[in-house]
Amino acid sequence: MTGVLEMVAGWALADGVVDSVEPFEVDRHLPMIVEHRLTGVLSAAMRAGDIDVDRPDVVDAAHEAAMAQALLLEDTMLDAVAALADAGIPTRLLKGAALAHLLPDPGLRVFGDTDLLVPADRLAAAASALEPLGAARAQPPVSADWERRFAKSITLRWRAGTELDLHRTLAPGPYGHLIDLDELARGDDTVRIGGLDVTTLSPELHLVHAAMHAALGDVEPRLGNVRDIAVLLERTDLDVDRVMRTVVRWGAEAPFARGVVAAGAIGARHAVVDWAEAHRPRGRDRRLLASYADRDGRFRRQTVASLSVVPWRDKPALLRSLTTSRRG
Amino acid sequence: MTVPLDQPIRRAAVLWRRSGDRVLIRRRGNEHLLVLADTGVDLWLELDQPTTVAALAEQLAASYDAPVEQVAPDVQAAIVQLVADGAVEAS
Repeated sequence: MTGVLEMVAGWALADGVVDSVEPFEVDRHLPMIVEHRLTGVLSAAMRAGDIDVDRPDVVDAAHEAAMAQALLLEDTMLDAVAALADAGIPTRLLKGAALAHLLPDPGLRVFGDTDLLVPADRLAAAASALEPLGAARAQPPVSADWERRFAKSITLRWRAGTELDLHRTLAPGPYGHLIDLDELARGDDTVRIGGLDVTTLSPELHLVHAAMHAALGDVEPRLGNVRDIAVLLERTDLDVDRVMRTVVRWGAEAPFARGVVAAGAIGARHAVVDWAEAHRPRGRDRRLLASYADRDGRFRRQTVASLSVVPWRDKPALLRSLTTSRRG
Repeated sequence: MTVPLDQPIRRAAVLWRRSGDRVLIRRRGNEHLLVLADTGVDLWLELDQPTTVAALAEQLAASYDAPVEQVAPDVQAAIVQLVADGAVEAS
């Protein structure tokens, strides 16, 4: 993480700091901006005159490519939602594609795939239902029973280069098993995309998901994802009590706090940030969080850690998965 | 062929984004993107509600401090093209 990256990620946040003494050097910094999906924010900051860029046309071209990809992904996602509805499989749109339309200015939010939550017992059926549209699993199918009980998601790819994740739950590893899947399936919030109302999570659940994703997804979270937390906190009319009740009910205070602290670090200001900065994880959470550190051996560590949170009936199957090369 | 121009409005089914000074438009299932720039962007942003070519011309003429009779033919041509491209519908 560099200072320039944090500066761009924190642009226009309450405590974001823009230091534009030195011009932004495209050759040096743009690859990281693209990687962290911040071209939209940089483009907006550049137009507002807040960040001086040495080659603005290159930034514009990079962002236009990202937006063209976002439109392709939305087109594919809408086809997928319709095909799944035809198959009787309800969906909830997650992450970037939903947040782009939930938050101000869709042109600020870049995403590289789309994510749909489906009922755990329909995960394999959902993947099959999308095959006629040209979707293929990124990895060979594993046991449908294992996927239904333990997988976070299945990744599907199209020949055009689009990618869609079908989610069973919101996070990998032990915290994914603590999430109340029935709660995710309730509610009828929608975002309007291409003239269609697409069902999604409430802003409160999007915040919890964004924070858990920042804390538990990649070892180093993309700052575009961290900015989602900040913007949800600062620019939506959140029911904070509802957020905290959900987090406590799921036993997810520690990862939620970790994600929110990351948003505070780029300039988010909110009472929830103050709470998160004061939060200290318990012993159980320190052990569970440790299973997400480092890339090497993550799957095995998360599976072992999951043994302490899944119901007794699931422990034998989870133990067996340690002797195979499955991925969740 | 006569293209109807009454009450033009963006087609609900198009996907679009503002990107810098341009607007990218994707018709569902069509790989070819339409790209609008300059006054085309302002025209597109006005097409979120049904309107008339005359009203659009007046608005844009005011924005650009240009004579409406000069702007109106360009607006009409742009709407005809957007309707033909399937990005805008009109009755």
